[in-house]
Amino acid sequence: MTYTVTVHEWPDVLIPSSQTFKAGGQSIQGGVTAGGTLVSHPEPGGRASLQQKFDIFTSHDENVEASWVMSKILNSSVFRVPIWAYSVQLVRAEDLGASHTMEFPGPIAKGEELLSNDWAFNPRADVTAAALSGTTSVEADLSPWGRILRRGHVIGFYDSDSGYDFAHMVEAVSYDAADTATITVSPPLRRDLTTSSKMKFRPKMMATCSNAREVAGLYSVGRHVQFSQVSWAEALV
Amino acid sequence: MSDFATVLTDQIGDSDVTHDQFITVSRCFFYDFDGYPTRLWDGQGILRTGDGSDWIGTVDSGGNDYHSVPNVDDEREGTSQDYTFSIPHIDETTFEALQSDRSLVNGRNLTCYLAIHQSGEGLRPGSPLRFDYRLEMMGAQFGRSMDLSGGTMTRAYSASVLAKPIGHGRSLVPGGTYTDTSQKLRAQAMGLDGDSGCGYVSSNSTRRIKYP
Repeated sequence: MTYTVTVHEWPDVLIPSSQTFKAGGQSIQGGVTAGGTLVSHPEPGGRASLQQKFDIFTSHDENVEASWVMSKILNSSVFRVPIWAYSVQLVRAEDLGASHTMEFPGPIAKGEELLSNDWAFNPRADVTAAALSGTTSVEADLSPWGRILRRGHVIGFYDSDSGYDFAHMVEAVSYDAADTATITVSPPLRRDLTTSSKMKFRPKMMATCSNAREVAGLYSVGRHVQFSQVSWAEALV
Repeated sequence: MSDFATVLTDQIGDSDVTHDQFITVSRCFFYDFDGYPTRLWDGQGILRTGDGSDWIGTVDSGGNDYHSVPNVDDEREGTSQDYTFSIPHIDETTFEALQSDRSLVNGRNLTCYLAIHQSGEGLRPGSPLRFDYRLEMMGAQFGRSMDLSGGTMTRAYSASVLAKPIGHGRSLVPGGTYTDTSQKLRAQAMGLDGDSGCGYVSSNSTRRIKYP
């Protein structure tokens, strides 16, 4: 019997006001060098992390969704968390040939869940060379847009076999004459890529909340709640 | 020189180099349970090595390593210690198989390898693993715990493996009888036709040796 992780979709109406995605891995204590210094060095691989801050939720939809989230994050449930769009860490909508209005959800109809798979802006580039999971180099064709990707950007992949999303920091990128980018990513790829894979400019990541007890707030007058800063750690699914 | 040693020496550089040199080497543990090979490494995520093996990382996002490994001494100094390795989370299939048939564990090998990581390799080291030490698994204790929280029941399976170096027991006295009859019986018990190794023992029992 294979064990499959239950994945919860982060409610699209809960939009953070501030966020930062990081993927450095941890620092490992080394030894003492011949020059007499105690050194630390980067661990191989590592795990991505995301910090998000939220303003107080004002609409009814937001507050009811927040109620569900506060309970679900307590038991380390795995969430599919979008890296929210209006961050400098993501390639700008103008560079991708679109306007901002396609990135945010409208109000949710009663009894429905609004999932961003249906409506959201989801530009993707073709991956031009196969890459094995665990490696750190990706090649993608950016000719429809030009050389829009730079180090510091965050991109992602969706693996259709497992149904999981993965987000990666661009550590370095170089282009050839045809605007095919060779990208070094961190953390390493979690699934194999083929030439039919797509690189997403609006990535999501599978994450668990590492500080769930601090996140939950109290509903003031039973109506409005504010989360404390949420720390997400990449779930290695 | 092996490929591992070549890569290691290249990373170290010449003897007159004094600036900071980073060589990241991590340990990979292969528990050779019969039919249920378990491979763990002390890092995060899945490490894939050139022989096609996948090694499971035992470190969580908080930096805690869930695989407890004792300091293994070099047995050439004359003692063979008891070492206890703890795997706090083992999958149910492996747990059920090992718990019901201890011969899958006892006498099998536990090997530690070293993997050298060069920059740009991610979690696929290009250099082959280097053998570090090998121990013999003497037995395992198994544990099962249940956690009921928030309406969800979680079962956790753990294993604690006792291992000794391969050379253990060599200094023990054989504890047998040195007579021709006993030696022949021992040979028969091992499936051999005979053994004349103790044929002269009786004539040695009272022997006069003349010194010139």
